[in-house]
Amino acid sequence: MCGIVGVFYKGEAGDGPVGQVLTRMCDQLFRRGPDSAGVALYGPPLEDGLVVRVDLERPDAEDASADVVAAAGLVTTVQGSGRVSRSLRLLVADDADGKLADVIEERVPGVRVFSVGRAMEIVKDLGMACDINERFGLDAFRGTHGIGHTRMATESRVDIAHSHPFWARPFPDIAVVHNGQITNYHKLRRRLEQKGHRFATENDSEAIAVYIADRLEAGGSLDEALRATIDDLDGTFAYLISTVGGIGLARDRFATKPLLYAENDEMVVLASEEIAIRAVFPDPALVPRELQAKEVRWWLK
Amino acid sequence: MAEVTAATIDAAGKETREVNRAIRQAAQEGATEIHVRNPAGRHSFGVALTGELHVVLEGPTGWYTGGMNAGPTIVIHGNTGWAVGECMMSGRLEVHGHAGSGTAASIRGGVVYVEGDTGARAGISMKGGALVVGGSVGYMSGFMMQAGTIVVCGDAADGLGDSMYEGTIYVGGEIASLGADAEAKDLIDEDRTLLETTLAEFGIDASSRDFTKVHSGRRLWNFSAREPELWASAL
Repeated sequence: MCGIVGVFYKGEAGDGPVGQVLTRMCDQLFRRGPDSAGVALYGPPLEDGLVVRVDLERPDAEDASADVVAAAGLVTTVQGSGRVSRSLRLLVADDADGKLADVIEERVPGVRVFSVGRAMEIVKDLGMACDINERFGLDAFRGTHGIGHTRMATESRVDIAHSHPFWARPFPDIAVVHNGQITNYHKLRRRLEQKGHRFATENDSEAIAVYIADRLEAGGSLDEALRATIDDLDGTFAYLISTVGGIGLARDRFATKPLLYAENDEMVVLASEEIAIRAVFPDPALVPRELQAKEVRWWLK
Repeated sequence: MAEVTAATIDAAGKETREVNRAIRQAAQEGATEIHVRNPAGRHSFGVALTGELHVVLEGPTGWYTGGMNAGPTIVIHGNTGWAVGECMMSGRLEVHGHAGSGTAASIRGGVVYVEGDTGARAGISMKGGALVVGGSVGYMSGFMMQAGTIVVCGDAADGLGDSMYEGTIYVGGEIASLGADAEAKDLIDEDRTLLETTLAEFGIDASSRDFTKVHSGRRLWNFSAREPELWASAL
């Protein structure tokens, strides 16, 4: 079991309380997965430049911050940086070759680049979502949409790198949260590696993100990519994929894992169980529906 | 007629066990109608209750609501999650909203009514009783049912009645596909009478829909090497 949540604000303002909503919903699902929690948050997309989130491994690693900034400076211009606990946030000019994350990790042992994008910022850690919210100050994050996850590890180890959301590295702004197991993971990963993609972890869910990013890069629509996963992924899954424009979701052919969506004029809210939705949105006019077997849906700006 | 004594329990801020204990306590003290406020999509309310009891959940509930009951009437005003009414022995359960997957799983008796739609595997492994759905049912509903009746006023998704042993499913809308060994039959007068009386109770006019009856082809009861395709498709 794992718990997955998402929220998408339809308005143009881009100042929805994404961090607060997602972590509060994750908290309600902690029984589905107490190992770790994380969120991929989307602020208003930057006109120029990218935002990078780096995990410093140790909260007190001042030196690592400076080393990461120096490493990033080898491939791009670093315009700003700030650290909260073990999460370092960089603003950089560009990542033309998609090598920024690799360079940082090669130069500074122990740190991990969790996300690169115009809008997306991934923050994740071991423990409960409420603690992570407090640790990283996520209540203050406002934006357009985001996805979150609370994990019960089944396929790979309990550590921060194997926590969700997974960035579709090196594709900017694409991330996934997944509840289930992908049983053709090794075959799928080999196929994607043969196309030149690389994987940052041993986690099966990462392959969903890379698979979809690969299809989007080839010019396919999100709708096509989501539909293709119904046949190309074996195993059990309910997942949310987020891009700079919005959120897509799909459920396997046996409807094994729960996933609900609720929509009104202002927003779409997504969760494994209604308990998560009701804790934040008690309005009875917002009526969640269960995604059916093989069903896909998406909401884009 | 016995006097109705009402009790109200606010679930907000209480543990699930506290709420369920309060329901039992109220019943022991003679309350025959018990209202639970603010269920807020939480799990396992109103379970393992016996006797002539009327429990009203005033909002959406989570998983396993009203499971393992014998006798009481449970009414949910809102959606409910997975496995509502699971293993119910007798009594009645009404969902005035949509239900999740595994609705009325393994019930042995009583009636489960869902005003809206259900998720996958509605009426899975039913061993008696009735499941009445005002809307549509999801993937593989009626899977391995052994007895009882499922009435679906809307549509049924793929794999309806897969590997059912016995029992009857009626569908008023479209059937996307039948599961292994499920067979569609024409209605006879007895079926029409049963549908009329069952649905009238919920304010639904059976004659407004053209029902199809589905039951077991019984070809999976005994293994036959002559039907490899049937066995290959059975889970």
